[in-house]
Order: sequence, then structure tokens, then C-alpha cells
Amino acid sequence: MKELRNYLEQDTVAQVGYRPPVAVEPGATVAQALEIMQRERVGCILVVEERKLLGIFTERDLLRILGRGESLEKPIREVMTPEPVSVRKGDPISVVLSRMSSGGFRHLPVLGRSGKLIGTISIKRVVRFLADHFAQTVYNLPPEPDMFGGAREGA
Amino acid sequence: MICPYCGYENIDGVDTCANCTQDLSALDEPSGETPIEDTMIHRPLSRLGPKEAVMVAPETTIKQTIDTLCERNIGCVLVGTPDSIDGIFSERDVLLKLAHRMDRVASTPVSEFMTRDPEMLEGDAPIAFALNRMSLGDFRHLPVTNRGKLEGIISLRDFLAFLGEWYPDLVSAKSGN
Repeated sequence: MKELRNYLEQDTVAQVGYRPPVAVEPGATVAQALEIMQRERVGCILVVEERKLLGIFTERDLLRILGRGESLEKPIREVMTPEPVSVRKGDPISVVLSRMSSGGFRHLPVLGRSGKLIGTISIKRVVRFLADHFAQTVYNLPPEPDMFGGAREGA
Repeated sequence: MICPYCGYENIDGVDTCANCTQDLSALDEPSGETPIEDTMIHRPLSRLGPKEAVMVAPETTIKQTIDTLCERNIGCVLVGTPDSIDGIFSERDVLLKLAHRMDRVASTPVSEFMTRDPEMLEGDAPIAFALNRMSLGDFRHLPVTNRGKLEGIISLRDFLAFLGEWYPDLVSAKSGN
């Protein structure tokens, strides 16, 4: 089995896996974006125009809007983070984790070889990938999700 | 062998905790080959540096709770007291349960939307074990206890920082760009 370091250096975004893009256009309202995020149960949504990635909007951004009492009818382009940091499908896990650490991000858009937007990768998915390999080969823990008080929603 | 769920000190090698009856058989696995694996298997999750857990009383309103999350720039709060934790409430709960109806729930007590009886682990539980639980349970934060009393909270970001310490050339906030 590989050492943890090898997974970080050699395994890529493609191997860890990523979600297909969940996106809205820049003129959509925060309320509309929220509805999609709730339906898809995702912590972030991409803002895309004519297949070009313009920005990203996360549940943390949403929290701030609610904290300030701002209207959810604002266009998403006004509250998104423009020109988000992204990763490529072929990037190793170490690059994903470094960029997440640097920016305090938990989600990163994923671009394909030609720079085309192909999805998003989350910190949860990366950690699950590492934990799964680790557990299987070294720790041998069987999955028993109901063992201790049931699953919690996304906390 | 200390039980990672209740803190009870069991005889080494038992399969089941004599106090809370949780399965302990998974804790007897062989050591890993490398230092980071050894650390993750044998060292306690308190090594990840649990942060102070922010707690709110159950009657705190949704609006007040959201303000607390924003002011502290954190993703979740615990609800209750350090000796009696009733639940956990996170920005994911905000997103999924109430963002679309804030006007109607702003004054509702957070206890109505929190997730009750959150999973928690003793600070003595191995890092790899904590990671595995968070992964299986699909959560990003895990309260940490000491003999059943709340000591702090760890998050997936803390695990990233841990990896950054072990592999600063690969995973630190400075590399990878």
C-alpha cells in the first residue's frame, strides 16, 4: 500500500472525483441560487456565462448576506467571489489541499484539459478519499454509520 | 485502553467497552509503516489542536446564532452547556433548513433547528479514528470531549493544517501555486 505522501503527490483530482458543475447565470438572484443549492444539497454554486466561469458563491457567503439582513433578490453577480481559484483535472491532491489551505476554501472549481469547467471538488471528498484508503489498508475499520447516534446533516 | 466514546479506562485488549458497550475491536490494529501513519493511528486527536467550541444557549434565536457565526467567522456552534450538549448547528443547517424563510424563523430558538445529540469523541481517540468517523458521518466538525466534558472542536481544516505540518513542501498554505 502507498504511503500517505504518495497519495498526495500522485493521485489526482480525477481519481478523487468531482461533482458535475452546479451553476447559475450572473443575473440570477441569490434566492434562485439558494433554491438550486438546497435542491442539489451543495455548499457552493458556480456562476457561469456562456460556459465561462465568472465566480463562485458559497454557504459562507450566504451566511454573511443573512447576517447583514440583505435582500436575497440581489443578482448573484453582486455577491459572488469573482475569478475563483480553481484546479485542473490532472492536478495532484497536494495542489488541491494547498490551494484550499491558502485561501481558506472548502470547494474549488475543476477545469478540464482545455480549461473548460467540468465540476467542483470539496474538502470533504478529498478527505474521504484519503480516509478510505487509509482505513482500508491500515486501520481496517468496517463502515457502520448507524453505530454512534446516526448521521448528521452536513455539520 | 481508554474508550474513545466515554473515556472509560478499559483493560487492554477488550473488544467491548465495559462502560458504554461500544465496539473497541478496531483499536487493536497493527502499526503503520511510516511516521505519519503511526501518528495518525496512535496519537490522540487532541494533536489536531481542537479550537475552543463556541456554545449558545438553546433559546438563542436563529438571528442571534447567525450573528455569532458571522462575528466569529465560524461554521458551527454547539447548543447547550459544556456539561450538557444538546445539539450542533451549522451553516449547512442554515442553507438547507431556513435561508429561504429567514423572516419567519429569525426569532425561533436555535434548538428547533439544531441537530440533536451530535457525535463527539474523546480527545484520546486516535486521529485516524476521528477522521474515519467524520468521513462516514459526512460532517465537517467534531466536538472533542475529556471524560465526557466538552473540551473543544475540530474541523476538516484542522486536518489539512496537520497534513501541512507533515508535508510542508506539498500541502502548506505557501506551496501549490
